[in-house]
Amino acid sequence: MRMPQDELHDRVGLIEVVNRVLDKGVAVTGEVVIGVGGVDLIFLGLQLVLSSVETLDRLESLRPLSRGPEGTRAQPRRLHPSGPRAAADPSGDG
Amino acid sequence: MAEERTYLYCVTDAEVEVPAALTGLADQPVQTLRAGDCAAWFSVLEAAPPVSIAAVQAHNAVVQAALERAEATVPVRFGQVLEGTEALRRHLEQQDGYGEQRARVRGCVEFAIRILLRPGGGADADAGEARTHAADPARGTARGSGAGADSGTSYLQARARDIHRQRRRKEQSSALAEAMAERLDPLVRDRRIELAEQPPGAMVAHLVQRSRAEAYLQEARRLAEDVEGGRALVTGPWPPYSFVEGG
Repeated sequence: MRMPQDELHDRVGLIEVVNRVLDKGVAVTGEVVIGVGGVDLIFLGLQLVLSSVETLDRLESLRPLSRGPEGTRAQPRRLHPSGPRAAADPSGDG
Repeated sequence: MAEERTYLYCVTDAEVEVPAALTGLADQPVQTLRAGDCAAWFSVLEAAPPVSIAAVQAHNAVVQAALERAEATVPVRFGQVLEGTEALRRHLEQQDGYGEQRARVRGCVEFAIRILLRPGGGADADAGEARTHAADPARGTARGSGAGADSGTSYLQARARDIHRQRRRKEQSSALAEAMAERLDPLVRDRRIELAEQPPGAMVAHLVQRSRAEAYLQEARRLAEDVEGGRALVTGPWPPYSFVEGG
């Protein structure tokens, strides 16, 4: 059975392809013959990622807290939006 | 005679051969046009290229094939069509064979770290409270004739909270992306950071030398496991789409 994380990774991979191919790379300025309906494609990609994250969060909330020996590993220093000082403070909410 | 559409995928080193069975958009064979020390990979299409997820993936597959074989591949954006191979040859000459761009990405691949803020956490909790208040009819009726004014005030308060929440999300995304990028700087040649509003988060693109790709991936994945308030996913190697510009 595939893990939700794998599915999310695949979907993020798809959005990375769509964003890159439609929005980045060199453009042949002045000689482009067609236009691209890129907005719809990008919107679709974003929706895929958004729904994936929400699904993953729901699935993870149903998992048991203990994962056996693997779950007992030491917690490394975490990246935190407010920086290392706040990350070291377990009471901080950022 | 029908107009010839020359669909361009990428520009790469001249000595690299296209795999024999490689096809691109509309299942058309991929061909090369050599000019000096560079070669353009293209297909001849009978009609305007289809616009779909499958077409985007087909475009990327051709560029990936070049990336696997050449030291320097300049990806071209989807949908670039020229009127025949002579127009393509002129274009390559005008751009000096994309020599500057090829030098910039030579020996490198791109990786992406997509950072997604967790919905419902942090600033989102404030916004949820704002929405609850704005939709609470009891707050409007409690003041009798002032209901209209109160609902207007609630709306403005909710709007202010939304703006505050968006600003906080941007700050969080930016801080996470910067923190991750700084830790990976010793392993990369260049980087780009883009903030995204929907879904909230950021994308860090890294240009990484192939010889350091394994070390980069190992470190990036380790960091990605420990993002607080969201999650991060590492993808790649990609052709260096984010590190070439213009045309």
